[in-house]
Amino acid sequence: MTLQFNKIDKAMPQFKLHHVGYLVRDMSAVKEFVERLGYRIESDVIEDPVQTAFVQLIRQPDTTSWLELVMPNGPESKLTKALSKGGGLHHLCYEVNDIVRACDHLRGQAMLTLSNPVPAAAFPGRQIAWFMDRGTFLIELLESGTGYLALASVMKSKGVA
Amino acid sequence: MSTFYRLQSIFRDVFSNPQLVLSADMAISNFAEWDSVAMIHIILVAEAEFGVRFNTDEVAAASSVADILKIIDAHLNEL
Repeated sequence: MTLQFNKIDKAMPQFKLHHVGYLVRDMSAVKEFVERLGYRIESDVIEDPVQTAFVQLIRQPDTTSWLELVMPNGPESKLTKALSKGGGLHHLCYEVNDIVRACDHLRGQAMLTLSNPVPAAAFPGRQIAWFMDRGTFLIELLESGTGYLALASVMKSKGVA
Repeated sequence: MSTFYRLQSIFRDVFSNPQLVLSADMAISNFAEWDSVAMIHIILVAEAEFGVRFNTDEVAAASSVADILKIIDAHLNEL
């Protein structure tokens, strides 16, 4: 059997995986990812008012995306209910060059806008937006940029164009 | 079928309850199963059913059957 790859629509916005959001009860969980799986801590614990959460970015050496640990920032957090169901995998975040165009694309793909582009607390100078589909698949869009937590920086360090 | 009964069908599908009887005053605050995830499901199915698109402010403000009916009717009147 020969695998048939689908054709990529080149007119479509490009979505590049930036991080996987992982919901935890306590940020001390970072220790488990560091000691068990060799992650490196790559950000401080930052309060994100859009997610009503504290977040921290970690990454394994020689990989090109992050894991974002996400913890509710209080009992009124939007994440408290999700955490009561067990936490774990929470969202996928994609970096995009044109966040407005990417938002339009997702909105036309049966995804509902939970948040229009707003400044990102964890990524200064960049914007984020949130979407969910009817299967509760949660997507965060992050405007591309420069600096330590940008895909362009990681790709450059790996010699990837 | 009226907008109300088409919306009732959507609620019956989303909540897997074929006997569910919709009322205008049914709201997130008085219907335990109706959480934010169910609301997203309702809106996305309603968009497909009625051929309309809710804007972000409308989604944020909607919290009852009456709200949803009002938004759908407003968009249908724009068509």
